[in-house]
Amino acid sequence: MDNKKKSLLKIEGITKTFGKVVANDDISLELYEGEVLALLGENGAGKSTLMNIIYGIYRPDAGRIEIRGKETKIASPRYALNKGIGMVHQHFMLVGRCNAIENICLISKTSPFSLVNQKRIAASLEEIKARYGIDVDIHCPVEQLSISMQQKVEILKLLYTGADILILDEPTAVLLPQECEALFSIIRNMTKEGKGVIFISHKLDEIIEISDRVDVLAHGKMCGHLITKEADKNAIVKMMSGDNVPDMSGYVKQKPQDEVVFSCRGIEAYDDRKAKTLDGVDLEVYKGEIIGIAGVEGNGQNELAEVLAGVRKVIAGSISIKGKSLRPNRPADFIKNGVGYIPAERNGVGTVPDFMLYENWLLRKAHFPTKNGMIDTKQVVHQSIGAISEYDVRTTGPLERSANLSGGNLQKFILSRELKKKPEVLICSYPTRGLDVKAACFVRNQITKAKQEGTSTILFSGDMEELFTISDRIVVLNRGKVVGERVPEQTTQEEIILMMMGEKA
Amino acid sequence: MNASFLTALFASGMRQGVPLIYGSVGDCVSEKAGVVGICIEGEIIFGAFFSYLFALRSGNLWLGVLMGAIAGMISSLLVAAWSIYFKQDQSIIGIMFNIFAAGFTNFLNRKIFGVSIASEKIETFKPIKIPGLSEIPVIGEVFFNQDILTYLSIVLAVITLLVMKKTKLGLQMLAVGENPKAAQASGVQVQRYRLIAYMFCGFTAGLAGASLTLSTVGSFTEVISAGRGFICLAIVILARWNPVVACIAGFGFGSIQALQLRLQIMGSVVPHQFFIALPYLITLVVLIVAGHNIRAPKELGVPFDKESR
Repeated sequence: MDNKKKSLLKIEGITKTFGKVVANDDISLELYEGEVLALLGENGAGKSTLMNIIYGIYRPDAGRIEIRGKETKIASPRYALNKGIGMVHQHFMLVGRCNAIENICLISKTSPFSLVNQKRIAASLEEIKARYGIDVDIHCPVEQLSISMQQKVEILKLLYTGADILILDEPTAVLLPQECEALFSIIRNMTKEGKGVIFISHKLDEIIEISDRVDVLAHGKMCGHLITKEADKNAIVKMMSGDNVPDMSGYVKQKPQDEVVFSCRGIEAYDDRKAKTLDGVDLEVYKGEIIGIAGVEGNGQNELAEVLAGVRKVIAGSISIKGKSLRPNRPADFIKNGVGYIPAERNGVGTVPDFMLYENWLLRKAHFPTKNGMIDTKQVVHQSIGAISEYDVRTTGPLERSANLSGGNLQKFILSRELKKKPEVLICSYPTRGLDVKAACFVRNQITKAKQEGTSTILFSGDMEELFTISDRIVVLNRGKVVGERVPEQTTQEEIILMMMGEKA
Repeated sequence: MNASFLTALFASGMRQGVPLIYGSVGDCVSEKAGVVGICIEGEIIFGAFFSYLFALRSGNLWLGVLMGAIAGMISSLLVAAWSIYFKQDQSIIGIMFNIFAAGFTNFLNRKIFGVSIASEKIETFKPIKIPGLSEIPVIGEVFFNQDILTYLSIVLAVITLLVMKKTKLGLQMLAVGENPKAAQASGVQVQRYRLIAYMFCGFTAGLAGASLTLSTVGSFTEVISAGRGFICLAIVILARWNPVVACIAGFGFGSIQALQLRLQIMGSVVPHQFFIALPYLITLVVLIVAGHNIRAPKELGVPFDKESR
């Protein structure tokens, strides 16, 4: 560590609890000028909580914070902003209806009674855009921008306030590989000017690429400080999870059986904006087959997953399971006939955030356990406790609000709910998105285990490695049409990507 | 139906519309910030009662207006405390409050003025002719020969619109109603802003009450608001949360009310109760016809919890 560098931020002994859960336990770290400090940890390790404390959203139960050598209490985000702390939240903090300029005006230090001078803000934004190489439309309402563009608006926001302690909470979780590169070059431009960046992630490769130092967080405790250049990848992973990295290398694909269990013909459907995004999709799924669906975001995968799970209307086409045709957009029909569904949105679609876990357990069930004609709550709680322990869902118990679970744990819970029904077909929409290595591997393992028991899976995924390791066939979607299919062992990632772009079939 | 009938009708419509304008302008702001003004109805009653009381006892109409507005604002604090700080359901609190307001003002009215058939009348605000403009045929009579509270309501609507559209304060209010988490992360104190917005709404509802007693009726009668607070809520939706459009809609609903009164007097085979119900019926129809495809503030009516995840 270079001692000549000035300390921007130092925290010591931070502890924060939510009810019975200790999210942060005696955590200390220090950030210096001109460096990228990576904060690495699994889902639910307490990274976001820690950052929300630094940004003044949560109050710590104990601990002290120093900014540029001076002890201080961060009482509110406003105070943090005044002290030069800026944060890009995992879930963006933008007002959708407003454009970038208005969103940035909100965070500026001007008086509430001042007029909104869009031209002046726009001029200084253009200057910042040029200086850091950020390319984004600042006049368009942010809700119409893509996720990666919205992230750029967030970064502009920070730079506009002149913050020099920058917190990026899992900035790459929502980005495509090429978009990550652009983000990294922006980050490098920022550190060149002496700003300090705290970069949160659970993706090891990125951290090794971008960071100068790594702090590893596990189960709410700080368990290691490393210098990236000297660090050993395996050592970091071990620190993170407390044991060896699980991977799928031992997995041997079994040939699916010859019987077609699930098929769809000529599916056409609109997306939410009433644009036709599915334009005649045919699919046949064999018993015990894992079929991977690849496609660039927005080419109809989300809609196809919803149609196959029975939750989206179709314009035309038919779906059948074991020769029995299912009525589209009748979810109950699909559930009854053994279609399981892991939606992309865990909170809100997969579960009701305000429900307790055992209540969420009842969702997507064709039959409730009953006693005297009423729901047998005891039985439901008992079932959910069983699933929670079997699938290693880390929570306080079945009475926990599901919104309080971290992404990985919630996904395990949803997975257990669907798989316990022994579905014929499982529709999995981006099941490992945003999950850490361990949780993602757990999910993949469960899917392959279900395959051995005869469940077929339709796996929508943006993770090429995932598609190649576990699927038996990869079907590529482009502009709402199937443009081709390949067996993973007989193709390359490059070929699939070209097909996704629509350049090869 | 001749020109003089229509002129008189719309002039009366403008006067009838003033309480609606005050109420809906305040509710526009409050709803933009995420708080529904279900309790405007009750606040109007409070405003009406206290403005009447003070104007009658002091002989000063302006003192009446001021106290009416303050009464509306103070009564809004009660609702605000429960819905913003204790995070209770705004609709339920609002409805309970409306019932309370009607009952409590009845109680005060009977306690202070006794049970009499005709309550004491006060001299209402006099119309002020705007030189020049009031000479324009029809329009002059309808818009430029009104009392001071009418002019003030229009000025208030325009200023409110400018503040909402052009200043940072307006932007912050919008953010608080659209995405309070983002507002918080930008350093806006969400609950305080909601409180201010809601107090403004109470203040204008109080003015609406004052305009009822001090420029239209001249006395206080029990449950004087007669559902105007709810019509204001409909106007706000119809006006897509724009105070100036709300102003025009207020004039429109006022004219329906004025027409209704005239139809009652004219006498017809239709029972007069039908005409009394007419404005409410039209409100319902308008909401059904124009109430779709709207974009309400996203977090309207949802209490904000600072540390929620």
